[in-house]
Amino acid sequence: MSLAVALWVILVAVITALVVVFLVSGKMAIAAPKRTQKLGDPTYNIKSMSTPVATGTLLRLLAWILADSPLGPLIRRVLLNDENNGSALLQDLALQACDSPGHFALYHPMQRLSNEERARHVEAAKVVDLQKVLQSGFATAAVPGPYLSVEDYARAYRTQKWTPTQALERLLQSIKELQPKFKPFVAVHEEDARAQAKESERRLRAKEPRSLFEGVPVAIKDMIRVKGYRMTEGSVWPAGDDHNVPAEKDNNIVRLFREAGAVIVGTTAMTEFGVTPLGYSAHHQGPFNAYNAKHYSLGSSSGSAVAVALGLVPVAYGADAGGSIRLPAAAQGVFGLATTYGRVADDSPHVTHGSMQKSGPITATARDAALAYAVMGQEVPGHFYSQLYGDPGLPPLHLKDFSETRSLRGVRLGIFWDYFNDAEVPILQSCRKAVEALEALGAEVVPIAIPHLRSLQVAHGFVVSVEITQILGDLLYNKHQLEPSTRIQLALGTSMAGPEIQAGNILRGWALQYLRQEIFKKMKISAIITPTLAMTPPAIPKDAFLTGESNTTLLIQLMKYIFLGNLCGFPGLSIPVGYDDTTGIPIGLHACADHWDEAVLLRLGEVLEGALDQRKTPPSFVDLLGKS
Amino acid sequence: MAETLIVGLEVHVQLLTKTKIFCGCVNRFNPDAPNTQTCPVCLGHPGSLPVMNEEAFHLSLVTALALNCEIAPFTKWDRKQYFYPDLPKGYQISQYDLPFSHDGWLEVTSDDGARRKIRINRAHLEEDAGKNIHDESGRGNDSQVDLNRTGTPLLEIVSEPDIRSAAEAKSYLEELYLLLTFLGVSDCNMQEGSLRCDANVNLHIGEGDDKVATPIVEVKNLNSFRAVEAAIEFEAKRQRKIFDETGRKLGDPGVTKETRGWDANRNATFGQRGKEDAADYRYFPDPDLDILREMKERSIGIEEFPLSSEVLGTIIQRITDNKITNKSGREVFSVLLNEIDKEKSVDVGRVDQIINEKGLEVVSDTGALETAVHAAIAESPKAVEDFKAGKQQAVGAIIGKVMRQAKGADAKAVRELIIQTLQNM
Repeated sequence: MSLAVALWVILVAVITALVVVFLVSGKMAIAAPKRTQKLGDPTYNIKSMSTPVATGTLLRLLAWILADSPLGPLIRRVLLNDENNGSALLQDLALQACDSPGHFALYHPMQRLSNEERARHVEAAKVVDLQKVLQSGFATAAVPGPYLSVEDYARAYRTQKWTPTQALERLLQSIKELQPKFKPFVAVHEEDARAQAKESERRLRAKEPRSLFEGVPVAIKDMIRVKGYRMTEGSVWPAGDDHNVPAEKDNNIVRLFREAGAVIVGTTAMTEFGVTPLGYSAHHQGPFNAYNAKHYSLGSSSGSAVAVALGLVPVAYGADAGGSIRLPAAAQGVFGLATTYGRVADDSPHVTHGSMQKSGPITATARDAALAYAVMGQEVPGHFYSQLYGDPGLPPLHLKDFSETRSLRGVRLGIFWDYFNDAEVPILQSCRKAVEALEALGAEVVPIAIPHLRSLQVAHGFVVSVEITQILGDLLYNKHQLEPSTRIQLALGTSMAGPEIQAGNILRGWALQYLRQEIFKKMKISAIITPTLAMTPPAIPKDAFLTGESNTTLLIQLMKYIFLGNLCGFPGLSIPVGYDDTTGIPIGLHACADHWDEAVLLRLGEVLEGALDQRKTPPSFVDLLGKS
Repeated sequence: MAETLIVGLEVHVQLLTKTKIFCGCVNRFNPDAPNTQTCPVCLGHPGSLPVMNEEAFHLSLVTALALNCEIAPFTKWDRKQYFYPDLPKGYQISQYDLPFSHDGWLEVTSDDGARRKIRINRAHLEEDAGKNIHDESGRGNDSQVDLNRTGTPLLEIVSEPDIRSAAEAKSYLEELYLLLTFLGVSDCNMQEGSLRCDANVNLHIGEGDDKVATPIVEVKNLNSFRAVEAAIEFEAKRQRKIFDETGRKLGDPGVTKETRGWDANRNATFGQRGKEDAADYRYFPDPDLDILREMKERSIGIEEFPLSSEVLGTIIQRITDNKITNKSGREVFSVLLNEIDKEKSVDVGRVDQIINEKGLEVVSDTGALETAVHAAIAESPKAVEDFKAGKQQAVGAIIGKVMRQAKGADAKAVRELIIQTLQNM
């Protein structure tokens, strides 16, 4: 009897196992390409999705299931194959691109300039001498406003109303007061900063300031090397790890700021490896939105944006592989410039292995963005980016027409209205008002269409995930204390397949061609205008304080307007244009231009700063030098 | 037990007209100068008579058509009577049993990303009331009344209870916002009250024959798009909790529709006064206003519209070029509509032909106008005398004469020219 039962049990078990293997085997493979759209179809197709939200214990469980359980690989692939994730369509569009002539896969989002294009930048660089601007400021008067600008600092020092040491002491005091509530900083080396301020003071007294930045406090996102500082990249490292050893040498960017005379005051908080754009780091237990501390600040350059918005520093460094400069800038009501791919010679070892990454300033005013751009954007001969572009190197830096704010005649703003309008109403109201203000000054709004936005968003998601996972994937296996959402993201990266990544890079090449040739050249579009965010950042769920949050629906809404800049290397600027009435959180307008046309974006920022209502500082804002 | 959320939205939209709906007062949000945009008509003084603002009706029609509504062959105005300090007439002019449009739909994005149609029950036109400003400091005890808003044209759009989630309600409002701002009907600024929304919310619990419904709650004071979403989410939870505790359902004795307010600070709804029934308002047709028999004998969908976009575009072009006036544009439009019934198709060139045939071209040549003005003045010695005696309205008689002479002239310009000429005499 018992033998018969045992045999039956074995038989049922074997059949079940076979059925499971049969069902599963199909799912383990990547989705087959599926033709649901013709290449070039301009229908707007980014959809909001309803996906499960996880925080707290549920999030930890989800991270275990997806990243560590034996079923993880299967579930990850099933998730990625979901039609909403668009792998099948992406692969098919790439097939169509392969079948049409003139397209190529793009691994670095760059295109060498024709002689004519290069000549345009060379001519522009001759008009205004940037070194002179960096020494003595702009010829025109600044837009009045509550924020302390680099020029304000320079004036206060040069008229001896303040010394860098006095200013620094007030700053250090304010950081102590605001740090517990908003947590923008990771580390502030007070004595080191005091020594720098003293040097600045000496040079100012000798009337030998290095530039307008002499003695001006600048903060650096905790992901590049700052001499004397540990670099955490938002994570927690074991005692003996390299990350816990203070850096011996500055990153190029930090060096350029020091050479301009800036006082580097500290490193600012970021989300773990910049993976989540929500801005909140569970390791750091912060930062919080400068306007409403219950809400997300967005990120990943969260601390930099919060520090600028609170009035602590006029300029902070940020980096952006998927909106990490522009999203927190928008949510904090400040300017955030993600430069052209290749413009800023970041020499962190990982940067040259990731093709989405770009650096840029987060600043209180448009002028400061322009000045910081002029400092950071200086070409460093021999850098990878210069090699990439070959002789004669990168086009020169310039700020063409930056101070031409009285008329925008000849400026053509490309708007894909279906895309633009896909945001919350308070955001639309502020952004439309800003567009009307630009139109009132003579800019022309030109309706455009950008095909395949959903698939381009997917392409960005796939490629950036795999790049991050390649660099950090080992942390999945060596018991590194990762936040659950980072763990999920890295695990998903291990399940993305070669053909998907290649398809992503092929569609990326197609899009670069399309946008440069059809939109920027043929239609003569100066900048593509959208909101920066499709929704106001929500409140941080209580459960998320210790674990963070996994919420794909939210990410799609937050990252809807920024990915083209990373995928195709275009510069993008978030410009503060208003405030959400119910939460008080600021609203940003996003302008995206052709490669090397940062000047166009900065000019729009400068114009809007003057044309819109004066900005409202956050309730905890500090007016360090008593400007008002 | 499974539950389904049932939501219907009533949206009030202030129309972007220059003047109020039944008088010439300027229609503008102006809280800083209370009670400065009023006149005997909107203050409800005895003996004052309302005159309907055609533009308000036009904007409403455009909206109703965009909402795929059917347009009623005729419609009328009703008095909705209630007493409140912000309503000095003692009644609101509204539309009760014969709204000008009904049975439309609006497409929204559901939670799963798919597009769904939400049916529109009706859209009707009414006048807005004034605004009571209460001292909320807890110290003072005076309330103030600002009647600037009284008589602002208000379009009420009522959905069927087809909305199934808070996110869908938000999507409905967002679509409505895009449509209304695109059409230039309203600026939809919820903070300034130019778009206001009430939500009717309840739950259906269980399935099939066991299905019961919780009492319907109308949530008011929703002053932001986010508040609408949050209030619906809150109500769904609150109603479920009360149902689980008490089992109270729709149809039980004593269960009536409840009105609740939204407290954005506490993120919760709170009980308000009970809602009147229609009978309490003693609706009756307004004897001061005519029944509207709009040209809308043709109630057709936009896709069936017989005139091509080129033809319509040409008419609009002529208007924007100041070649014909708005009014003449409408005349060309109705001529074309009549013709198309016979001809089946109309050529673009026909627009200019009609303008020529009817002499509708704006007389922009001031020389010709001046001649007509001088002739009319010479023919009207009585009017000139009255004008000189201080009776401004005497100009009307002269305007009439000039307009008969110079068809298509801009009446405003003519008026100015006449006054100028008379003053120089």
